[in-house]
Amino acid sequence: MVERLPRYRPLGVSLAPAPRIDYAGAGAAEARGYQQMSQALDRISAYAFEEAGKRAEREGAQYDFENPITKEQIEAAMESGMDIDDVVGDPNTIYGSALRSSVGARLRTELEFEARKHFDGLTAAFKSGLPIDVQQQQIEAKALIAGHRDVLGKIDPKEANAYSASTNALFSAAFKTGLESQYKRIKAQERASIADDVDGSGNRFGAVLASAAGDTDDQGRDITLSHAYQLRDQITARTINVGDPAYTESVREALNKEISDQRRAVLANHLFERFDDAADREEAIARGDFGRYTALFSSIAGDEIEKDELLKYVRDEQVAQDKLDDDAENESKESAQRMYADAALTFQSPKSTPEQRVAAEGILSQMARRGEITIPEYNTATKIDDAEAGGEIAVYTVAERITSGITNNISELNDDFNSFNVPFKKRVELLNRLTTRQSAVAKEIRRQANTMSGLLPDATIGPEANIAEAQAKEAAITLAYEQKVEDYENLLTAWEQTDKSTPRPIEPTVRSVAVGVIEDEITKSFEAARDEALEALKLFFSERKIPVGDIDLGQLTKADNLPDFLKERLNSNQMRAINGLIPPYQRAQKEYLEHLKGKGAK
Amino acid sequence: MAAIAPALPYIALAGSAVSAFGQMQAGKAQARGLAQQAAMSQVQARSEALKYQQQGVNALKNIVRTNSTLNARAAAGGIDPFSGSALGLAQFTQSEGAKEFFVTEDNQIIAREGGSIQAQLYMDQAKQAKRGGLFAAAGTLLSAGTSFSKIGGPSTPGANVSYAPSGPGAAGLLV
Repeated sequence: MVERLPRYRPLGVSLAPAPRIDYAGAGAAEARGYQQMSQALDRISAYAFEEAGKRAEREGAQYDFENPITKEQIEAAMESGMDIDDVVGDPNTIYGSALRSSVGARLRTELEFEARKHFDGLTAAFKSGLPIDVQQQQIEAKALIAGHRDVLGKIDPKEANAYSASTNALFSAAFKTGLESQYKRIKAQERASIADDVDGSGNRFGAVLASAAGDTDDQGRDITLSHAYQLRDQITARTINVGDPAYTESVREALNKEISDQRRAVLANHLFERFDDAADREEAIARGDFGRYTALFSSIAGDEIEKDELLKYVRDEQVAQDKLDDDAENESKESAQRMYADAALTFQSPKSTPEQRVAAEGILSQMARRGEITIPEYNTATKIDDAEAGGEIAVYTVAERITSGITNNISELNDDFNSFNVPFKKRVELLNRLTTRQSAVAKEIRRQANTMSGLLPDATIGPEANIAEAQAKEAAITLAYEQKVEDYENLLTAWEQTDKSTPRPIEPTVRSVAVGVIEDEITKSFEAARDEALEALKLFFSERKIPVGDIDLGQLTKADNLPDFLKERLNSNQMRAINGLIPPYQRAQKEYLEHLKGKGAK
Repeated sequence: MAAIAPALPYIALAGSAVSAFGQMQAGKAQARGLAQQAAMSQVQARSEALKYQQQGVNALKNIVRTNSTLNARAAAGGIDPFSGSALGLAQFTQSEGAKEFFVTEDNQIIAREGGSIQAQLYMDQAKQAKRGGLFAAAGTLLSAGTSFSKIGGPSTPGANVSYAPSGPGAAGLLV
């Protein structure tokens, strides 16, 4: 029964497994979305930063171009303890780095140029042979390079090292030239000193040999001659310092010749002292009769050539004495002729006063009495040609006026003819003289203008610019020359009205006038450079419409010294720009003043 | 381009700020997913445990069913089911059934604990992902700030300027 009762039969229901949901994957996918967005934004930011960096780099370089920072500004900043970053930018930023790089490169170029100029000047000075202390120059050059290097080092160490390397190389070349020059100078000084000794050796040898008293040394030679040879050897020994065997030999030869010459002179003088007659002197040579100089003569007794030279010397000396006598006589005659001419001119000049004529006549009559002039010459000098008024004196006076440039055209010549009453038959001759003079002056002016314009003196063709320059200079010199001649005429007229105790005015020459014209041009160029620099400073303010009032910008030494009302209107860049404009003006002003000083101005 | 050129550093800075925000959100999203995955792991573990609980119940049922059959058959055969061999067989049934029941209980514990451990691991990863997002964002902002400051520009106008009149009544003479 029990087995047949129904029982619950399980259906086999069981729990379903929990679904596998990938929350982590979903979260990762969401995160990837955000990350992609972030990456895109990062790329945009990177691009923007890159572009901004490039722009900052450009701006840094541009800033330096527009507001060039000078060495003086940097030095002033360093001295005042300012942070250099405030002047040339922070090197840790792109802008500052670019600015520093630009400033460094530019300053390096400028400083190298400055150093090169200095060293070139030094080299030129060394080469010129001036006595310059090379070691002192080395110290100064090192200081210059170190100073510049320090300034550059604050901005860009790489540029500083490059500057140091290049300028040290430049100075090494200059230093080598200096050492060579110094060595040459020392040798030249030694040579000059030896040359002085050689030049003075004649007198010393002469004195030594003339003191001979007939004494001889162990070998029977005249003792004074041995002394002369010792002196020669002393001088020759100094030539070893020059280090030139050929020079040593030449000095030795010169001294030997000097000894021979002095010996000859001492012997000849002895003969002239003892004998008045030439034949006696020659006979004494033949006999070897030289009194206390016989021992000295014996040193050449066996040398026929030297004896002939002595004979020739004695004869030449005789001829020279005769010539001296003749010259004295000629000079006396010439002096008399000059005195005669001066007295005759004074006597015949229409401008001479009666007192001057009386004095001149007195001189002429005395000369006639002393026989220095003949009676016809006296008559000629004291006779005024009355045949034509003016006469030769008028011709002479006008000719002189033409020569000195006072009369320099036909109109003035005609005036002279009438003023001085020049004889008609002489007028054509004077006209020709005037024409010749005018041509000569014009030619000389053209030659000077050509030379000063880089052309050959007589050139008529050449580069167009040079020809144009020469023509302009020719016109300027002509104008200046005419003015100078006019000034000279006025000075001469004034001088002739005085007692003539002051020197007669000097007539101008074309060359002196040309030099004056060029000097004026140079002065003007210095003035123009200075004015241009000052104008640039003024323009800076006027372009920004900043009135400077009665401020004298020429007195400005740095922007910091501007009055507050101006500084308030300027930013730091503009202040730096002003500091950059001041040094060029100061340099130009200094050069202008130095030029004036060089011309003699106070 | 020229017009926006001056604003480029600021655009870049803004972009970096948004990017940093994105990185932070990415970390958070990943962390959220992992936290949910941890919860899911626990649900799955509980489900497994329930299966083992069901097996335990089945084992108990099997004991009752076996002993009932044993009692009935013994009684039908005239054998006392509560003594002798019948009792021995009933005790054997209880012993074997109890063994299986205890195994299912152990399996429940293993399933639950395994789920907890897995959930804990997911939670740790979530924290790490969130922290990673924060660090990445901070790195982006720091990098952008550095880049911004590295660009640089003209310095501010300098001070230390002075003006001194050179003497009484001197108007604007500079020294």
